[in-house]
Amino acid sequence: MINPEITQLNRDEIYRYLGLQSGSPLMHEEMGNDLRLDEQISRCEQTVLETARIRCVYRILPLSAIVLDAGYSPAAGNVSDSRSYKSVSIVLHGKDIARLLDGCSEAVFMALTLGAELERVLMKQEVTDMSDALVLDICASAAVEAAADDFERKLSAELKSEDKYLTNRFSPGYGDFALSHQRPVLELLNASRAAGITLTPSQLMVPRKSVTAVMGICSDVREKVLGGCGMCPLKSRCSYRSHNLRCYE
Amino acid sequence: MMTSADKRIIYLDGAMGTMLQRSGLKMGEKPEVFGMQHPEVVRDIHLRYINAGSDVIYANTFGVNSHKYEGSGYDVSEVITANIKTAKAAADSVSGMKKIRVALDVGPIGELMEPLGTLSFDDAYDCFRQIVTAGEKAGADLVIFETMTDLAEVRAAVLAAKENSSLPVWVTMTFEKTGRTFAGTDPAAMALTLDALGVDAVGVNCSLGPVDLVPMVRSIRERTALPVIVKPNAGLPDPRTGAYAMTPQNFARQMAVYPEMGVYIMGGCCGTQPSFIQALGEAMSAADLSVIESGNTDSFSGVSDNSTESSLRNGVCSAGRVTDLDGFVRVIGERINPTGKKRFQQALREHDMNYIMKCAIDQAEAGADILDINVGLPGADEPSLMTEVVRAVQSVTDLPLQIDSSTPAAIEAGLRAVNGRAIVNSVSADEEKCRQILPIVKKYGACVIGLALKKSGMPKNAQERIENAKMILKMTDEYGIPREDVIIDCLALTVSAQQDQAMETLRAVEYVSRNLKVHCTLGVSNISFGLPMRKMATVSFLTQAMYCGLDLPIVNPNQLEIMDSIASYRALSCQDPSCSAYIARFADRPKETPVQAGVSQASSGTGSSDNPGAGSASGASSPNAPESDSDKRQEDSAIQNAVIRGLPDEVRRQTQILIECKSAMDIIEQDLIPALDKVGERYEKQFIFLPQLINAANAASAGFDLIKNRIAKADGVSVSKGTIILATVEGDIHDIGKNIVKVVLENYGYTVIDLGRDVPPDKVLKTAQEHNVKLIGLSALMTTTLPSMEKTIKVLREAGHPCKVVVGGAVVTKEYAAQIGADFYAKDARETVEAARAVFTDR
Repeated sequence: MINPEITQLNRDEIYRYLGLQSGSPLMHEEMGNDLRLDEQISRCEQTVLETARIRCVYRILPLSAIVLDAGYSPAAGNVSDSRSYKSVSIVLHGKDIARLLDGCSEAVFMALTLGAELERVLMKQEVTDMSDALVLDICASAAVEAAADDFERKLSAELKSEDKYLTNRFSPGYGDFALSHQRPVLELLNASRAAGITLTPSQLMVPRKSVTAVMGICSDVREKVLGGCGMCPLKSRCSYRSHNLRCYE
Repeated sequence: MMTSADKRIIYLDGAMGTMLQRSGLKMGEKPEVFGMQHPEVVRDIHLRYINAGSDVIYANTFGVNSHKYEGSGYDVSEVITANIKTAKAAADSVSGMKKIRVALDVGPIGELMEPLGTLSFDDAYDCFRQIVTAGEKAGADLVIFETMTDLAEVRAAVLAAKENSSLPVWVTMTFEKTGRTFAGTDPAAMALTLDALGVDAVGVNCSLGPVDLVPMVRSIRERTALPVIVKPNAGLPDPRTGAYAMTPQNFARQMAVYPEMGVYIMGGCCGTQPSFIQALGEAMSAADLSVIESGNTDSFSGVSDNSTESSLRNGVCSAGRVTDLDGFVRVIGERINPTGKKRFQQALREHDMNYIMKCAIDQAEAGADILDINVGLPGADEPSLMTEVVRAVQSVTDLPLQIDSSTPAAIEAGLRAVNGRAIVNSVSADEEKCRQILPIVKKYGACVIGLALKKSGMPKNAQERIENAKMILKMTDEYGIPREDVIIDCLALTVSAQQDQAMETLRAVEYVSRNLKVHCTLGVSNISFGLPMRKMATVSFLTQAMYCGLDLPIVNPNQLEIMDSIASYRALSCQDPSCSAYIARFADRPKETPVQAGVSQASSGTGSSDNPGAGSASGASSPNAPESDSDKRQEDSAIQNAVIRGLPDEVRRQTQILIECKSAMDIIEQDLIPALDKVGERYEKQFIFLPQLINAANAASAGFDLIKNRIAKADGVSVSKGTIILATVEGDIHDIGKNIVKVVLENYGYTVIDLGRDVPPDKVLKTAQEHNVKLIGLSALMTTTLPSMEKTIKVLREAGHPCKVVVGGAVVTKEYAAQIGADFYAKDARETVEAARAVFTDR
């Protein structure tokens, strides 16, 4: 079993999230000059590291247990379940996910959360100090990423001994991989029972600081096939892009 | 002839889902629908468990509820009825040998409850009521709520079952290795709360193997004499195959520890099969079951084993925290109470929960163990306010609560909303009052404060107090409320008015605690009313009262001297082992004393080049110094400087100085808002970032609060520049953006009605109409919730409400805003202020 951990957060990423509204290329310099802000970030980072209790569930399915329906258009509505297919664990719709898993032998489905404890601290902080609440929220977002990265790193190391490799990580809500996959992925993982991750009727995960992801397992190292701004639901109004920056660089 | 094991141990069944998957259930298919379509498959599974030794079988109804089945085309009652019938057919087919009972099996609804999630208590209640009603009608013998992780959801389930059926109610929750559920519920709190609500058996199921659940079961046993259920998993599943590793024999061997702990209702959860139940039976008949032989408990009718009750640890609790009622001094915080507090009354009238939540957090941080909640306000709807405040307070602290009201409806509303076990404050020694309130106390299993007072008049001496206490105990005995749940208030009266009463109170406390052997409380602060240097008299009286047996003082925990005296008393009375809490509290104390000096030093020490003179001005000025015009200008820049640098203490100090010579409105218009504008400009120019902008807003709010307080005290005119509604739209739970906007708007002098997150359109409309609001701010963070924003605007427009609407949020664009008919698009808090200015200019 892989247990993702986080020991520290990526400060550059936090700065980037903080500057999201302004997108100033100068921000690093400005931030560096404000010691109080740096202290605030350190304090909030510490709170996140102390409060986050990562629960992670994953399953590795052979591709034969997955139906890839590339003809799906996200506008068509809800993802159907697998009832109409025989001996299938999950049906995934969309061209992007089909491209990701093309030529793979297996796929990894993963969900992880930082837990309800941190959620409660975030809620309390919004009452006592909005500024800390904002920085805390940003640190928590960075922590979810860090935990998912650690999962990926550890699984990758495990697979390497079998001469297998991971594709990049892809989540519902990106590209044409509709957010409505959230429910079947979480159900496949038994995530509400095994990790305490639930969905609201509007497909949002609770605790909010949670992530689901799919990765392919293949026998060769491959170029990252997905990613970039084309996949991103925020591309039309992204403040990084407007300043010629990229969030993943 | 039955063996001793057969006589005492109640065997449950094992997993249903695992068995169904092997019998052809497909991923994504609803097991209960499958069961309705293939009753023979489910019947066969039940029979295999019965043959393996199960006394109680769980019907295939775990996941049926109106939320999960919405849009499925199946009717909840119909699916439940079909599956109960199948289980009953299996149970009845073996009748004659022994009675097999059928449990209506009910799992979590699948959505998280408020405040973390969006599912409301009432929604959950209705959902469970439908299930339980259908299950009872179909012939279930009992209802089991299992795999629960949120005590709030369990409470809704249990209340729904008890208020709408006569089925025995069993509850098992699912704990992690940490000893808590995912939602943070503590096993001791679960046991206290559910015992109080009158369930028939409690326990644990799922998530871990048998051995890992021992600590949680032990903790439950410490708190309740109810029968305890253990239904663990067969270890953990493999990520590749999903299979569980443990063998039936291994499982049964690990289960053998439970009879020794007095547990005799057992079965298996995920990964277990009939062979596990069989192995369990074999292992138990070999085990020494003498321990449970002594028990005399009926889990089907909730009769507790009274012989062990005296050794149980009593307490009140929230879902995540227990405050023991063990005779040690526990502090009840008194600050959530509008009596004599204009600002608090205003907060209640305006439903300003933030103010009340802060008040709760302050008391929690000061060391309160329990919070008293009083929302009595003339003309207000007390029951609904009580519910609102209890929920708000629970969302930010985990302290157990005390419902303070004399109105039965408000008391019941409070007890219903409390996620845990509460105290009711209070009943008096009047039979009529007791008959109104004690049935409610009994129903929710709360503790209760008995006020040693009669309608006919104040007690004149200790003897009258004691007589009144005895009368109350007679009534609580009559209603079956255990003595250890009763707390007597011997009444602290004002010593400046009735000097002889202080000693009478102490004598009564001593008698009640030593001879009647019940807990004692006092509203301690009353003692010093009208005296100078109140805290001296209060602390002195408090110390004497604690020595006489006062264990639950109601005090202001934010008053340092009071908490100091309690810490000292705890150390002196051996309630603080090794004086460690005392040492921790006072170790740094001398270093902290010169608070005033610290503040002025900080402000002069951080003077910056772009605000020349600010530092020296703040350092030199004092409220008594004569002020020339030039001095005043310097003061202005000092307060602005403090806002810009985000120093709330300094802003407060400067406001205090200015308020002596300027009107409230002038301070806001000429000092605070121009400072915020300067901060806004710097933010626009990207010299500073959002946290710094908020820091400045927070600093300004220190000034606003002071002014508001002053005005509330003087009953003066409002300084509000207009009222704005803010809401995160229905379906969306990301409200940090909205909350940032709120802080900034408030600090520009606007009154914000914050409807929170996941707000239905109708609520926005209703509030807008009620308060005649001119501007409404809507926020959405997810693409999936944008349609709710559109719908909200549509509802407002169709109702013909003349308000303007400003929208914002990560996924909202200017184009989209225009498209859905919003009047303004705001990309951030600053632009929302501009929208507000545009709307309220003509003021």
